[in-house]
Amino acid sequence: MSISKQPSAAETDLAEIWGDIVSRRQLAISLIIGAVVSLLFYAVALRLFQGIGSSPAIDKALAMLMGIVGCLTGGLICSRLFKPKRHLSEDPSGSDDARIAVLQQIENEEGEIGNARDLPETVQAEMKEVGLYDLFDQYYQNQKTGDR
Amino acid sequence: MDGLMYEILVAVGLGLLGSVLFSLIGLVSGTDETTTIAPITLLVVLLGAPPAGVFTFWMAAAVSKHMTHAVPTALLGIPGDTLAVPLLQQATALRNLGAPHIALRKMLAGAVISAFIAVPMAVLFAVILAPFGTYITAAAPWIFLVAALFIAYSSAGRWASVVALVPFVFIILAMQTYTGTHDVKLAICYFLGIAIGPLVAELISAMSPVEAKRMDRDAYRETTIAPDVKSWGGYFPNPFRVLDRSQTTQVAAASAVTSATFVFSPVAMTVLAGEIVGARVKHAYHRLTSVLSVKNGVTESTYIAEALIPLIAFGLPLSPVAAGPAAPLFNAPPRFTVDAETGVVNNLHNMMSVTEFLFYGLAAVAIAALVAYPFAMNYARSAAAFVARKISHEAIIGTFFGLVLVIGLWEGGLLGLAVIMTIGLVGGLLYRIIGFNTGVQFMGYYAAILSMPAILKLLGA
Repeated sequence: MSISKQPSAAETDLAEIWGDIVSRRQLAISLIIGAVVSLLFYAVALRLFQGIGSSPAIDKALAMLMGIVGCLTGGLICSRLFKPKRHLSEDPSGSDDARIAVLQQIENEEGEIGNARDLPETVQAEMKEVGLYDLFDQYYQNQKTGDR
Repeated sequence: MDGLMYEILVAVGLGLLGSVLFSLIGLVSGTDETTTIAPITLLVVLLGAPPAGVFTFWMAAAVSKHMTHAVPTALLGIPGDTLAVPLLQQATALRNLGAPHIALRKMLAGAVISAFIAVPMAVLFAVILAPFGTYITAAAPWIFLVAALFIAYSSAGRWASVVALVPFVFIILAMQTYTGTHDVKLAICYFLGIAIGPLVAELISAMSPVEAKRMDRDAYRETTIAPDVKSWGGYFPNPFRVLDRSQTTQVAAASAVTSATFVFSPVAMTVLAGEIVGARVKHAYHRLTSVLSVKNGVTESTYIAEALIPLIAFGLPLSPVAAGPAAPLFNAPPRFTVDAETGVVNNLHNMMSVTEFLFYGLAAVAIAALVAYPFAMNYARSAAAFVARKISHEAIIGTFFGLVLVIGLWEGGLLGLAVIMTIGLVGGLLYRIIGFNTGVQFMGYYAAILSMPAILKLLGA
């Protein structure tokens, strides 16, 4: 791996957890923040709401609702503190060569490309609007002449 | 009539809340349906929302999430949730061809058309099945046993999941007995433990040096985002224009058929419907777009039917969706209950009529069509970019961690937290390693509380 692509020194502890990449240290801090803030909200609400509803069960449910507000607050704090571990770049949206490679892959994985000229008018019009008609058509025609 | 107006207003309000909330959650990739929809619906139930409100909330949430989950799937190439995984291949192909916006639009149009068809179809099938409801409730303990075995076998783990049911059921029985000696009776903690299990298992695995090799990464995730292309006027693109005529027909047919197959897993039905349609379309471009519209349509119809049919016909959670993401509609003690001894139910099944299910179901779909559909059509790119750039995964995990702590402590104090941790770790690891998924685990829970007493009685123990 080239040095320029290396993440900053504080984030060399990356791991993929639950479907995305996190810094282990920052995750640990996030868990603590999430726990402390939500439990604080819950505990304070339990005290404050005592006797406010018509039954203790309702008081407790309201306190739980405040606990949920606490979770969201905790999440908000964490998202302020820690940046996502993702590099987002604009899609170059493919050169023709790259697109032809995609067509080859489709052909291998899902079956034939097919003749665009046989499609209903509306579908042909849609393909032209998207700018993919010529690509598919030429690929098919080249393939047909190649087969002969 | 004031009472009715009030009820409708509350239901529409909660439907809007569910739709807005889960339109946003749908944008965040990797947010599993059960893990997100079940706990929050549970909250709505326990806070005392009226039955129609609870139902509209769930429906609007599920339908909206399966619309906006198309955004990360099409634009970032990361599946939005569990049911977006089967859509990834076609979505990625269109993205690589430089037409991710087409993938997105086809998916959304398929979803909205399918959802509107699925509600009346599901109600119809439920009405047909309802006369058998009394037999089914009477035999509930045995039906749950059979259903648990069936859903286990149809999970990714096959026979391994069937075998794993036995120890899993005994862990639940053992914990129930133990907390019982302290006069603590828990239900929600089991649900939450199962729903959040994959996260619990990942967090604990992350602490183990043994798992470091599997989990460690040395670079950020590289994601490209597709350029924005908007080619329609106005705010609300007509789904019948986005799809061509053959696609509309295919989506409608797939939606109607998959509304009846409510006992099968939604992922399996999505894959199957996609394959059937894909085999009939000759041209590759047309095949990609047709398969995407049908598949995403099926993610809606299976969810709607699998919740509605068992809810209307039986009141028992007899489908993978009813046992998983829709579980709180059936069982959320003390408010909604399924009695262990008799199979007597007290939940939305008893509290709402068939007409109400139809009316509020359609209302929920209409709300999702007015909130999630135009939102995803118009703001997909900026929303996906915002989530990818601003919302760190650490923050999402921290939020869920807080949620689990609050609900666990609220229901069962420290014993509740212990139950969530145990079920979460065991269930989460079984899911990852042998494919014993959350749907099977929910059925295992029902087998423990419903089938085991009947089995013991039969054995004379």
